[in-house]
Amino acid sequence: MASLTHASSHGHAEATWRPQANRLGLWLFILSETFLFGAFISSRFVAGTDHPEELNQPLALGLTLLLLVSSISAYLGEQAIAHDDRRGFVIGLSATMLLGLAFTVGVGFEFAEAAQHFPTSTVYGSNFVMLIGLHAFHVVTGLGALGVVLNLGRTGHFGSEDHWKVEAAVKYWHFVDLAWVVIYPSLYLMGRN
Amino acid sequence: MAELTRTLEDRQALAAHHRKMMVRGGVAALLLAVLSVAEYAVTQAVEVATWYLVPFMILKGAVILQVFMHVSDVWKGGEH
Repeated sequence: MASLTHASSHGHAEATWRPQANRLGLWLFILSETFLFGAFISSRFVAGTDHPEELNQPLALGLTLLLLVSSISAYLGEQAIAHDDRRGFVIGLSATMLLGLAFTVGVGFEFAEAAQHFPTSTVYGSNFVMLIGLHAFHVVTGLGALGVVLNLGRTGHFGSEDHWKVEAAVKYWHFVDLAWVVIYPSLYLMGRN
Repeated sequence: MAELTRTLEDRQALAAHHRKMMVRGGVAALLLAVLSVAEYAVTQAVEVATWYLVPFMILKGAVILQVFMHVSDVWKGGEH
């Protein structure tokens, strides 16, 4: 009986600290990713701030809007499952994944244009491909994480009491958006043509 | 009956909180859209806009960090 009480108390204690520990771990991971992006972004400014005039500004602005809207749909999906609205969760995360896929296709076009106008043998070209490539890799892994939680959510997992995995995947997606908020002006808007 | 009433109250509270969070998300979305358009407008108006863009990056980053990522929960220890 005593051991049962101890086990129950241990289970309660774990249920209390586990989400906090998970959350702290995720934030430390995001912090380490911030350093990685920081290093790549700072390398872009080593050879000055100017950017080539051949950059496809409308495409970049469109990609920025796609990613911002995807962050909003991810937020709505997360809030939906946190309030037991499974239909809202599926719609929110499906929209996020579609927008993320559209972003990835757009990045493919960007790469094709970059190869023509500023090859990787130039300083700007190599920084452009490294930074956009690093970010695109994070978009693809974020899509994978969202796909996993969307599939689990569709089959009845998660609810208002337990949606940590959704929170983690969505936070990671917001981080990808946050990185783009810095990358976009750094590559496309800062400096002169 | 009391159990049923409590469940109903819980559901109403949950729905009210959901509405509040949706409004919060909508306001953040609007703010991000305005900041993005203003950021682009500044680059068109100013010849070399490098330093003018930094406040936009900080503001947009702060909105995403606080509204979407709930960064203050890290030091407040709360749950969103």
